[in-house]
Amino acid sequence: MLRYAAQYLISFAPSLLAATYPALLLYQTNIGKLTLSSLERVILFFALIALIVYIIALLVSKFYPPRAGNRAFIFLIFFGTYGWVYNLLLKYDWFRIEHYTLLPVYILVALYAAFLIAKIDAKKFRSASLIFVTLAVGLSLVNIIPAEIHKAKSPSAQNIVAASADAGSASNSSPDIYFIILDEFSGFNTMRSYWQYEGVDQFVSYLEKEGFYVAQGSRSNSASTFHELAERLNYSTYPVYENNDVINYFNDIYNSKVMLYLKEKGYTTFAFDETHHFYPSFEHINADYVFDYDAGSMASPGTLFDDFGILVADKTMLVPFANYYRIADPKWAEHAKWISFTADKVGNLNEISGPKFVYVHLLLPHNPFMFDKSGNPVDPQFYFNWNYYLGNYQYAMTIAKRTISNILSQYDSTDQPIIILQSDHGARNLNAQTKGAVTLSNYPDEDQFDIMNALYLPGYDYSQLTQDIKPINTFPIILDHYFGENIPLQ
Amino acid sequence: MLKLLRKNWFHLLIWTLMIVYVFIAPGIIDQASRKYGRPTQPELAELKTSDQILAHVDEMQSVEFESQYLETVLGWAYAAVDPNASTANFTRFLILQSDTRKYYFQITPYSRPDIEAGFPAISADLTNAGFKAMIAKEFIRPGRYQLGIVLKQDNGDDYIVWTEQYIVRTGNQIFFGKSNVKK
Repeated sequence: MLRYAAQYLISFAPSLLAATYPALLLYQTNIGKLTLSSLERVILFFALIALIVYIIALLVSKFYPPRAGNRAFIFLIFFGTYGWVYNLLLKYDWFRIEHYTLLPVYILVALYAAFLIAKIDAKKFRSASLIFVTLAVGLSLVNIIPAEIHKAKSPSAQNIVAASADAGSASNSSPDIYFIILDEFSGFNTMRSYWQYEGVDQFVSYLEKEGFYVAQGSRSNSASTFHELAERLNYSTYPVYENNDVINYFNDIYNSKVMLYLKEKGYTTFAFDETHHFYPSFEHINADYVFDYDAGSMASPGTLFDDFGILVADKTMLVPFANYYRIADPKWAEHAKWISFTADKVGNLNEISGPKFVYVHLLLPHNPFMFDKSGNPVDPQFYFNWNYYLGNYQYAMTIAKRTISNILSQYDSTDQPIIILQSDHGARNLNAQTKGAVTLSNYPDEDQFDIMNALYLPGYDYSQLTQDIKPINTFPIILDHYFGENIPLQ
Repeated sequence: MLKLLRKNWFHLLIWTLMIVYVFIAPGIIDQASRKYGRPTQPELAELKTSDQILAHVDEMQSVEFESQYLETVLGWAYAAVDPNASTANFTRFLILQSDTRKYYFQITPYSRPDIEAGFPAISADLTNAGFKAMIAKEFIRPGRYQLGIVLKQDNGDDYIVWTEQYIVRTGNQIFFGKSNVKK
């Protein structure tokens, strides 16, 4: 009896590993942005699919486990590669590709392959496939396990959220500082030249009227959010890593020079950050008070997959049915609420006395391009369509105005705050590699570095500033002028 | 050979049916399911050109309209061949023309006060100079198409004006280009 059970289990093993390998591979590739909980859910789901396929294979193989296992293994390889093949054919664009034609052909080929495999010695093929797929899974685990150990040793969010109320040595004359990053907010020149959108002129006028210096020739050093944040918060240059390996910047953003300096000066620090929303493994900035919505909402019980699950499912034969597992994800509703909450709350932190440093990072107008210019949601199918960027951008301007207005309304003329309103990088026109993703035609590559850079510096002689201020110099300018430091500009 | 066919007739039948399905299914499904954005075939007189006719295509956007993915082409076009005329006197069509193919699409006029303000010297009524055309890309064969506007007048004089914009249709995508026309 035990021998029979072992036969069934050994024959199932290649199928199980083949079904779960795509998830491991994608997890390994994106390990810096994900947590194990995302992986567990996906692995369980695909293990279940493997079991169903194996049972069907047993039925058609007259319950001969080696043959059934081989058939299931072959079919699951086709199952797990359909999305890759579909995307590859779309990319090469040789001929028209539709799921309703490609999927039946692919399934037919998979079935024929699964039946033809019976012509090979079942036990030998089972052994070979088991060795092959075990090696592949093992290689993934070799990469995943050390990275997970490294992540486990990183600072925990639990240590961050606790407020430290001992910050009290600051002088009351130290100005509050607001550092507001609007992710992917294009520079004004790009909006005029590429989008032919003159509405930015009104926004620039608004900022200047409020007392901002608007550096319209400012450019980022890279098109990577984390690279830019690390540089600006530490006023040091950083390399741009290949494959956007953002985990290299996390520690320096978490414990930045600026935050440490201001904490030493007795500032209370605040972070409004939804980066966790896109990068679950990114720990919150080490602030005294952190505002974030529950990261658990990334995968609510009402949805089959979180972002990672969608990424994996999109590579399989499930992708033609993507509408059933990916639209109207509740997390986008959280995102919308968060933006509105932040715009109001940032200007209402009076419950904490003493000087404040407030860090705000909004994924706006970053995709999903879910808002029209009035902030109303657009159809979810266009969330990754760059033709909807402009509406999101217009709404971002509205949010920026609301935030600035709320902040300034808290201060009188003798006690003005410093406000830094910047984008990390410009519009990058990146293909989201997802259903409904549309990029812009003829979008100039260099425009992804054209950023917004507006500074509200009370008492500062703006004639000392130039239109092409490097964003890396933002805090040196402030610390030199308001705190008497002598940090050289780059 | 005959023996081989007889032995494998079932597999051959399956694969033949699959190949037939792959080739004919898209056409049938498009005809059955795509209600909007189909090309039209207007009856036109000989098309004239005039420097009193101007047109521009501003942009193309992907939209969903009544559960159908479409491309919306937005722009403006007017004809000032008759100073007393109005854009309402013309029925306009968007034309896509490559070296070998030509497609016409119906347009919906809409108000463009900026055009009226931008051409103060034109006495013709330009109120509804704006146009919007919906295109289902599935009906367009791959190729590079220059965009133009055909203006069909009630009195039988029909005009055509080409813009500097173009569309490139590939097997699966459609792109809008704003300059560097190479017809």
